[in-house]
Amino acid sequence: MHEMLDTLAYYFTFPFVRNALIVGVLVSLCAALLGVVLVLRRLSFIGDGLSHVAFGAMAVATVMGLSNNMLLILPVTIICSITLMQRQRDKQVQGDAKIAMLSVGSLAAGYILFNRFPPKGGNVSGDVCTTLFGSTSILTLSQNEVWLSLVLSIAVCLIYIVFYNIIFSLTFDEEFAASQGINTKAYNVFIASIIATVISLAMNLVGSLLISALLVFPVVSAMRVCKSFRGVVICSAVFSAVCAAGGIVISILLGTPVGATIVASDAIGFALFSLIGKLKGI
Amino acid sequence: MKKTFALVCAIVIALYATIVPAQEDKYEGPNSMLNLAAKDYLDVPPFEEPLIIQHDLSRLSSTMAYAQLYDMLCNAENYVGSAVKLKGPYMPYQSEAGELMHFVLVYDMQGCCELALEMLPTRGANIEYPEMNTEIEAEGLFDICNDDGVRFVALRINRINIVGQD
Repeated sequence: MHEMLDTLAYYFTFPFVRNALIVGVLVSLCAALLGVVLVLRRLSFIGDGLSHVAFGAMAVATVMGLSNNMLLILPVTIICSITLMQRQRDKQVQGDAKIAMLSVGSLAAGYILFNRFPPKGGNVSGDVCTTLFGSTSILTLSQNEVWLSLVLSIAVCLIYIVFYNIIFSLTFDEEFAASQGINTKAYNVFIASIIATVISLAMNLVGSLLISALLVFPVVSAMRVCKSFRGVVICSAVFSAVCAAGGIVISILLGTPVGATIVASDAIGFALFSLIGKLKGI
Repeated sequence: MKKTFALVCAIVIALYATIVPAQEDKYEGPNSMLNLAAKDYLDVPPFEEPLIIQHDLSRLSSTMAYAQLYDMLCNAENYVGSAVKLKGPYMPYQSEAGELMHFVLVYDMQGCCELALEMLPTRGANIEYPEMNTEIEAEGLFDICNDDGVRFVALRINRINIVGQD
């Protein structure tokens, strides 16, 4: 135990470890906050769909040789998020089918692009594997990426706090919110944009395939022990931050993939919270 | 009016991001950061041993070793002159010009991604390189070199140790 603590203390002297912890905690916190909205509106799978769209956009950005992939990933993901979250009425393609089509279509297109136009001097399977599963992405962030993640995460948290009441209204009863004079269309677009932003950031943390875990596990775990909306929001944020930090620490100590370790921590946390919830009789 | 302005801004930013290529200037630094008077990047005198290792990647987990080497490759200026110890498979590579280069590989925990650090012998070092994929340990000084305008990083070594051999 003493040796492990010494090793951990040594690892914390590395700047990229400190950056990873800060960014990881903030991004997972944002993901949990927005996950509450998605889970309660039964849109949990949108995270998966959008992350795959982001993967496809990243492939296009890599082929185009953009110096900063986020310049393409963010706008494309935001546009798709707005499209997916719009209410469907009398359309031939329903919401869940639309998510599925966009998700697998983007994933396939992205992988084909990577294979057809591999990055110069790059390792296609390694790049794809890292992007999909987030093995070491969070530990290899550039300084610009760290600052961008920090600024966007703090902005998302502040927006959530400022618009908390409106988010609450839109989550539970959109028609009532509209009748109260809230511009529900505009706020839905706004929330969709923030969700897309968080998902783009979370790709660096857990990879495209595992992002749903960051959105869903904290919320569902919190709902096992909390009864109120505010309680679920706070509990899921804390749960997500703790599991992200714990997952990063465990992965660097044991040499396991970072993304998968964070998700495994979430899963164990969910099991624990389920047990607590059962014991509490909730 | 506002929508048009926003659309124009978005298009300009998108065009700038896509059309303006990343500029790669010819590296005009010294041939070797460890030996500023060197006429060629190969010319570095041997260093005194034993080295006091400042970055020992051999004792890190695979996740950390990969991330540390990645940081060293991306922010090489922060590591020039520091004593580094690496452990990994040996990989030779013959360039198009026929030059035989020597690398030590560091894999991530999944084994699908690897980073390679080139090993350059110091002046007078007579190194017998093993077969490809042999596990080796390399201790040396981190350097930034200039090969006719091409900037690359390397580990200056006096010798290598084959893991498992005395």
